[in-house]
Amino acid sequence: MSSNMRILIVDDAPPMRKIIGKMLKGLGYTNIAEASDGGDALRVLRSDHIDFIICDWNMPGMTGIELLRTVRADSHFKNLPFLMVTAESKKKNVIEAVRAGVSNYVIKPFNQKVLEEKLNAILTSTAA
Amino acid sequence: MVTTEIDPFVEATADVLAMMADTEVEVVSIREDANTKVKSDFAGIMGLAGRELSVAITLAFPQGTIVPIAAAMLEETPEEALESAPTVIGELLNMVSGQARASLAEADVDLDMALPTVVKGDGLALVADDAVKVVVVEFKTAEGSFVLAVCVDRKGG
Repeated sequence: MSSNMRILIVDDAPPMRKIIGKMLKGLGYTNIAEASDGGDALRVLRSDHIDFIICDWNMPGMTGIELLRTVRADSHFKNLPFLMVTAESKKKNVIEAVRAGVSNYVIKPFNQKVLEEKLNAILTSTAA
Repeated sequence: MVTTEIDPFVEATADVLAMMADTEVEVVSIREDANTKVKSDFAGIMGLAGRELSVAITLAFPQGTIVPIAAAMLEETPEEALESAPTVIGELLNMVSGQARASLAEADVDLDMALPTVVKGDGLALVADDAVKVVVVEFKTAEGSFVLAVCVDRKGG
């Protein structure tokens, strides 16, 4: 997958969507969609072509982990790369996300380099 | 001073601002006080609670410090950054608490996080309860100073 892939950023905090979007643009990914929670993300997924999801864990309405489970249970989206971005660093949360089928996990705070490493790790494993 | 519990919040504040806002910070002073009053224009407050410990942290910024930081983080004009400042402070608090909580978990201190609350007002003053000791850490950045206040309550002692 190349830098023209369409990436959906899901976060209830507009500043975080902007920061992640800024980092992605710095990495050459300019085809970006946004959603403010899991429910909003599902609407985008059903009406748009999304290649990659970057999602916050804690959100009002449908949370990141609920969105992940919904996506993995849907035959259209079950293989969609899904990067969880969160301040939730507890081991039990990581295990819960892995069991739900997360592609990778990045803990806030993070910088562009960390995001690039996580994206590349997912894209490499998806391509393999 | 209870540095075991305070240090993770101080380190997390420096890390979060460096990583997410490209802002280097320097600790100017650390003091422990009862009857503490913190003055600022924007203040974010968050509670963390566990079996042995409750912690309340406050990040308090003068407008002159947070607006340039938010503007740089979000590539916004100062006017836009002024509007974004409360949500930026809420996110900074989430990240500071998340990182500090992970450090404390390594010392078997397990804390759950509440949601942050951010208040704003010209020269607002936050006053701690007389009976509560608060550690006030003053930071300096290229844009100005700000304050981290940490209040630790040990349950049963």
